[in-house]
Amino acid sequence: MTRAGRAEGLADLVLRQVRAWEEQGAALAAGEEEGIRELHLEVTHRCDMKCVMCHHWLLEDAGPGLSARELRRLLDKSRLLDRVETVVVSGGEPWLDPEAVPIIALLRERFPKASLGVLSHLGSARLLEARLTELASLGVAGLWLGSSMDGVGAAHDRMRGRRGAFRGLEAGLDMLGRRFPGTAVSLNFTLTPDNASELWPCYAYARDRGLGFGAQLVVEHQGLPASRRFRWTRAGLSEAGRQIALILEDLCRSAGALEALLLRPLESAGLWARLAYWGHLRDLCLGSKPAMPDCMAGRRYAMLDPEGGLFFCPVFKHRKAGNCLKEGFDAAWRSPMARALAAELSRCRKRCWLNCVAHPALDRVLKAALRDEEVPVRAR
Amino acid sequence: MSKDPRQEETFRHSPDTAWRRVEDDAVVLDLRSGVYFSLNDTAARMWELLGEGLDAAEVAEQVSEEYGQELSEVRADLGGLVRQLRKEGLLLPSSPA
Repeated sequence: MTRAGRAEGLADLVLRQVRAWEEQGAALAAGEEEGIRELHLEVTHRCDMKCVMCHHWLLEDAGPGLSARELRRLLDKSRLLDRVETVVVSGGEPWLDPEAVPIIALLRERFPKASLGVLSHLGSARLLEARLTELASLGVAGLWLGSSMDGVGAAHDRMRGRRGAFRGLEAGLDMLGRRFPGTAVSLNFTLTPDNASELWPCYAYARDRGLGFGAQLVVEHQGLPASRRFRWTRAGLSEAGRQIALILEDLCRSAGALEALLLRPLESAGLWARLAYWGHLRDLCLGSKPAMPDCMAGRRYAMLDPEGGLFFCPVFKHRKAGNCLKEGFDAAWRSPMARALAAELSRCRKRCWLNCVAHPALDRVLKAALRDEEVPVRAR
Repeated sequence: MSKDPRQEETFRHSPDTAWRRVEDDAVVLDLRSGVYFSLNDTAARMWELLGEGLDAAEVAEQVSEEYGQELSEVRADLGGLVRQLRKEGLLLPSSPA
């Protein structure tokens, strides 16, 4: 018998059980088809940042973006989107788009029960306040916001390609806290060789302010312009893995993961998905093969670019399955080209581990496993 | 408390513990202190059987059979485990002294 209780052992102990559930759940969930559950809309390429990992600001011939009128027509004619549960609006910087408010209002009207979020750099507090005030006046409620934090202070500015970006983000967060308290905000950290050592400080920043936090490895978008390429060294990945290990330990401790495992495993599915996500990200950094369960590309997610181009995978954005504005959503989705692309992506073995895709995939398999789980604890 | 358990002695898990199997091992959490203990496969099986009310002799025999280990060796391991579990307050006599 080993007396433990050291934080270093706790995360790995919990993850052992979570991995077992992942395996069970993957087998149970195999073959389950739910249809489209998530809609991701890039409404504009416009942005006033020059993020090092982004292609939007590099596009020279970017058009005006999606309009609310076009979107309404697209949604009105679609049946396949009837059961969407999550809608995410992004860009570029969506709040710069004059169509952002009518688009978001339309989405709330069309999907009243869906989780509805906007991904933004949050760096223009005044503009953000104006947009949210307008949305509130239209009765749009329950909006969550996602943003990026890729370092603290100047480190974040370097990643955003703009001095003062971090101050702007902080100003946006302060404004939200004052004017729109209760708005769920989550920060995402993009791991690159240049900022891996900033991961823990950003996690702690988010944690201490009660903000959600996630991270992912930088995506090298295939077939799209890039301001630079990223080359990881072994030391860099090792540092990233070390920082993630710290986060895992802290999460397990602060969330009472062991007690949850022993006393409330069925009610803690969200925690298991979160820990599983971080655990796999750590392992990926430390050299393991990615362990993405079925990502359901081409089946669960509908992603549209500002021109109405339909794509299935954030890594392979340049591989379009059709154009929803020209063909209609359902026709584009069902087209032979789209189905062939979905089939091709189902055979993909790329090293990706993205928040937007991995979390739902993990949620799905873990919930399948927990449906079968008996509570084995001997509680008092 | 350093004596080996009497062969007919029975025990119960402390009500201040929670535990589960994690793969082949078990983790036992002392809910009062937050300290957790890891048990390997054999120790986890002993813990399970002790909690089911089997006496020490029965536990040793069953584990010896299930794991193909010498009974004398299992008895010694069981004695050590019970001492440690009682010392940590995780295992209690089944009837109060």
